Order: sequence, then structure tokens, then C-alpha cells
Amino acid sequence: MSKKRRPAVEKDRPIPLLLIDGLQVGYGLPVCPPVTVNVEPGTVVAVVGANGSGKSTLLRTVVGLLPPVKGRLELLGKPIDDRSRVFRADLAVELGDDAFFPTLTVREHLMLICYGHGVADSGAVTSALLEDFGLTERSEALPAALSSGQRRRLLLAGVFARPRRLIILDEPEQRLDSSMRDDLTERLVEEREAGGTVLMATHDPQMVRRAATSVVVISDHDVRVLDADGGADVILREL
Amino acid sequence: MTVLEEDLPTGRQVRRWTRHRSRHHAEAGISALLGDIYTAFLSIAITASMVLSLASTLAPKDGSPARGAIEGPGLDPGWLAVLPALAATAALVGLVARLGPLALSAAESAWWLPLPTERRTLLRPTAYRWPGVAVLVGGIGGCGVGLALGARPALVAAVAVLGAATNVALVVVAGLTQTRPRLHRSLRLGADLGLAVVPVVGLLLAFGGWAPPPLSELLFGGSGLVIIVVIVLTVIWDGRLAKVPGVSLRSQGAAADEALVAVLSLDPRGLGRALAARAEPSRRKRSLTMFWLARVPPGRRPEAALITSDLLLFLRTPRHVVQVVLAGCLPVLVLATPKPNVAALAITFVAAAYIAALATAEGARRAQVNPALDAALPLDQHEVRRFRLVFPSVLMLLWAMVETALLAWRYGDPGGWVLLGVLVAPAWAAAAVRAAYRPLPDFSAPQIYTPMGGLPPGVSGIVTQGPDVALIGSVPLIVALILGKVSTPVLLLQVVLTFLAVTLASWLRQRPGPPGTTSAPG
Repeated sequence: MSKKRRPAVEKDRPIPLLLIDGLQVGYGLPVCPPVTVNVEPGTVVAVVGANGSGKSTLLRTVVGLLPPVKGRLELLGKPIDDRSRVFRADLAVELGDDAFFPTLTVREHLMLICYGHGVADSGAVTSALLEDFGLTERSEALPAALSSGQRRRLLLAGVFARPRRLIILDEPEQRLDSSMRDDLTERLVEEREAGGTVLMATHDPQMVRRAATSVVVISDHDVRVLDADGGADVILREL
Repeated sequence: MTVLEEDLPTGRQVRRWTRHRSRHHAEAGISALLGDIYTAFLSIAITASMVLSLASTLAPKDGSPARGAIEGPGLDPGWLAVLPALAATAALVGLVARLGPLALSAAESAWWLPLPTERRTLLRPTAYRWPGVAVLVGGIGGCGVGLALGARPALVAAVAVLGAATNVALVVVAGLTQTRPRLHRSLRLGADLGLAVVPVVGLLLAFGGWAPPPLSELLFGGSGLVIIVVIVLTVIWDGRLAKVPGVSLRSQGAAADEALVAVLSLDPRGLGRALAARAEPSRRKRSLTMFWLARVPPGRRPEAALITSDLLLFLRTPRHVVQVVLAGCLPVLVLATPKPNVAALAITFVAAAYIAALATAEGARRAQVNPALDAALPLDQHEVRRFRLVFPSVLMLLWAMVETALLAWRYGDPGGWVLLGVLVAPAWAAAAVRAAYRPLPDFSAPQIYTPMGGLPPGVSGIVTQGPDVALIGSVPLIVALILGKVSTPVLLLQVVLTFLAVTLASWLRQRPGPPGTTSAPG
């Protein structure tokens, strides 16, 4: 896909942060129609659709866990490749994979991320995130002692513990109580306003209406790109 | 936002950081580590001494007939060390290609792989686990071959080094192919094929009457050459560690995690699933209409559906078909030796029958984990158990008829042996079904401490559930092999034991239901 010759006019255009062009995703065979969307800095793009419509498959392809069936997929003008250190430094991903080191505490999991990403003031960053995600009292707990929702909060906190250009989240509202959903929504808004970028699959109309700048609606027949209100209405009416 | 590369820790430092922090919370201390090392060395020493003593008994003795001088079909005993060593190598490579060699656990994948640290030093300790296993497997196998062929100590050492180095080379090749999924899959298939070919080669050698070539001084040079190849390959592999995509590290790690959990849970069914799941296709070109079910009387369709599901599962899992065929080759290998050893023949026959029977009971094994089909059909649990016996019994009947006909080839009386085979087949099927429905050990109960570590109570009873019926059901066959003939009392005893085996396999423990209900079959 990357070998395809680009038109000369593209030279003058700024390269999108994430380029998804006619992308077909699936396991050998496509599971949804081709997706085309440019994800620009300072935006929150929500992907919505019914169960099994291909939202998670799309995200897994974007982060390099699945090869594209067809189409073009680039991060800052380069093909997706998780072996690249730059790619890993740019992308913060949370796909709900519930796996933890059994002998590291909640705080140590966040410190590991800070350490691995070269975050200077890891102690302060970690403490602030523990506070924001309601985990301060559980900071010295081992993962086995956490509830399902607390584990999800830890995974989400990990996304914000490190430098990033693009955040990718798969249904981040799952397993969170309504208060934490609201907090997360506000955090996504702050991320957007600070110039950060988010691509997320979600079923939460409030999160879409408040945080998203555009919405990709995946159905069996087509893929539409709507504004935030239009996307939220689709969730409420059709899904 | 951007962090300089020099400010990032190396993969080794990330590993150390994690290990250092983990140590504070790990329950096991240095004594547990020493205990694990002691156990590992003890296990290796016991395995090695068993293999070597067995191999020594195969070595040609003074006054024994010269190799190749035996008339008719005759497998030289030396091959009985070479063939298992080759099978062990193929099995190792197949295992490595399924579980790695490079793999990260779920936690390591989730927390280490997204870090922008360099991956070579992160992955290096993982990379050298399997070559370590390869050294042991190849070394012990090579040593066994050397002893079985009656070589002098220096040559035995050379064969051991050659075996170890060859196995390491194959593991490293598996590592090099991990970045190329097609090649990696081909290597796995090649290893499986190699494992499958070993008994066939044994039969060809037996009927060809070929003796193993004598070990020569060339082995010293050969060992050195293979060591050089290993060093070169290892250097190349080490340089390419960082090129393995995260998705491969995750998927291989998931399989390794699943296999490890199955082993630690003493659950061979889970181990089989862990090693097989990724080899099965996720879809078929088309679904069968199953028109034959419409021809069955309506009252019998649930039973027919259950048997059909077992049949289709077997036919659509080629490794089970291969398992049945290859298990059939094992007794033939012993029968093809000039003077079949009765003990070896009996052990091989019963083990092969059980291995073949296990391949026929995949439906029951899956039903034990997820009884969706059983629950969907209007059959009570007793009926489900009984009808789960049908397909394994039919297939084992065919298997046993072929195998006992081969016994008749060496012992005469084809009618008697085949009749015994017909009678024993349902007992073997019953053993496989009983094994499929065995419960998991209760790890929540107080552990029983043994020199090999803590074990859940009742584990021996659970682990032997299945093999016990196979063994008891095979007693008349073993007696017949010892006597060298099939007598009427043996046949009568077989009828009784087969009936008992089938009854045991279809027996269900009654569990009390909730208050106010009748007791339900469990």
C-alpha cells in the first residue's frame, strides 16, 4: 500500500497525524466497509457502530496488532510498525487488555510507564494520576486486589502517564462508574484543547457529544463521518 | 513532549527495574528459588538416568547375533534409541514453533511492549530459554544413541554434543523464522511431519533389515562444525531480536501462558487446546447440510446429532486422524523386532491404544469445558455420556481389529486375537471418555506438601481417571500377550471388564439439588 505513488499536489499538504485511506480491516476477509478518515492534531475522533461492526478490529489494525486487509494506513507519513521506537513513543494505546504484573503495585505499574518513557518527575506525575483516577487509596495494592473498574482506571491512567501524540482507546467507558466516565470525558476534552489527539471506539453518547470533534459511524453497508452531535444521535437512535 | 533517546532506559534496564520492584512483593524468597533449582536438577537427573540406563540395555552384548544378520523383519535395537531421539527433536521444534521461541507473557506484552526502549536486550533473556531446553533434550538423546550403539565414551560425548548443537540450531532457526509467519508455519508443519514420519521410518527400517551405521571419528568434526553453525546463527538471531513484531510476541506468549497454566493446573486437556488452538482454521468454505439427520427417526435425532458432532470434529481435526494412525504404528515397531519383548509390547500396545482413543474423544473433552451442545439437546446427562461413547467405540473397534490382526501375524490364531480386539475396543473408548469428563483439581483446598512441591488434594485420583480404566480394561489383553495365545477365560474376562469400563465411563456422581427440587444428575 505504501508503494502507491502519491499525487504531486500532496507534497504541499500537511501530513495528517494518522492517515486512514480506504482501509479494510479484518481477519483475512474484511469485516466492514473501507474506512477513510484523516485524524488531525487537536481532534477527538470517535468510532461508533453496533457490536461486531469492526470498531475494535479497526483500532487493532491502527495500532499494528492486525495487518490491514487493504488500503493505506500511516502515522505521520510512515507505515504503522510497532517495532519503531518513534511509533511506540507517539502512540498511547488502551484496548482493554486486562493484564498486569502480579507482583507490582498500582503505583509501580504507573512508575514503570514513566520510567520506560523517560518521564522526568515520575513521582509527581504518578501521584497526580492516582489522585485523578481515584486510586490513591489503592496505590500500594497488587492488581489481584483491585476490582474490575479499578483495573480499568489503572490502564487508563497509564495512557496519561507518558508523553504521546495520539491516544487510542477502545470503549474506555466500559467498567467505569458514571462519575469516572464524566472525569474521563473532561480529560479527553483537555487533551484535545492542549493539542492532543484521540481516536476511540465508544458507545457513550455523552462522551461523543462532549469530547468528539468528528464521528466515524460504521455499519454493514457504509462508513459515514459525522459531527459530534450527529454521531451521538446515531448512538441514541440506531445502536 | 519528545524525549531524547539517551534519556530512555535500555530493555535490560526495564527488565531489571521490573524484577527489582517485583522482588519486594514476591512471596517466594531465595529458599524457594533454591528449591526450584533443586527440583529442576533432580528432574533432569532422573530423566537422564532413565534414558541412559534404557539405552545401555539396547547396546549390543557379546555373543548376541550380529546386526543385520537377522532373517525376516527385524528392527535393530540400536534404532530404538535413534528413533526416539529424532522424535524428541521433532517434538521440541514443533513445541518451540508453537510457543515461541520469542514470547512475552500477557503482562510483559501489555506493559513492556508499548515502551519506546530498544527491544534487543529486553528480549534476550527470553530468547535463550528454549536453546537451554534444546541442549538438554539433544544432549540426553545423543547420549542415549551413543550408549545404545555401544560407542566408546569419547564418541558418546561427541554424539551428545552433536545432538545438543543440532537441537539448538533448529531452535535458533525457529527464532529466525519468527519474523516470517509463513516460514515459521512451515517449520512447525515440518516438525509435525518429522514426528509423524518417525514410526513409519521405523517400520521401513524393520522390514528393510537395516542396521544403524557404526559411529565413526568423523562425529568429532561434525560436532565442531555444527557448533560453529550454531554460533553464527545465534549471532544473526541476536541481531534480529528487535525485528520481531509485537503481535508475534503477544500471540506466542498467549499460547505459552495458556500451556503453562494447563501444566500447572495438571490439566492435559488444556495443554492440548493451548498447543492446537492456533493451528485450526477459523472458518470453513461451506457448512454441511447434514441431510442424513433428516432420515433418522425424529425420536433419535438428538443422539444422532451428538454422534455426528463427534464424527465431524474428528474428521475436521487432521491431527487427531494422524494421531490415531501413528498410535497404530507404535505396537508394530515392537512387533517388528526379531524377538518382541512381551513387557515392551504390552506397555506399547496399551499406551498406543490410549493415545488413539484420546484422539477420538475430543467432543467429550470440549463438552466438559463448554457443554453448550449437550445442554442444547433434549438428552439427560446419562444419555449424553452413553452416546459420547458411540463414536470413540466404533473408531477404536476398527483400530483394534487392525492391531490385533497384526498380533496374530506374530502369534497365530487370527480369530481369537481379532475377537479380543473387538471386545477390548469399547473399554479403551470408555477410558478416553472418562478422562475427558474428569474434574479439575481443587486448588482452593489445603495443599498436600510433597518433595516436588504442593499438590491439591485428590490430584492423583483425578490424573489417573481415564488411564485407570484403560489399564484395567486391557488386563485380558496383557494376559494374552504374556501367554502368547487367546483363551476362552481371557475373552470372558474381557467381556466383564469392558462392561465395567463402559459403566464407569457413563456413571455420574449424584449431586444434591437446591432445596425443594429433586436431585439432578451432575
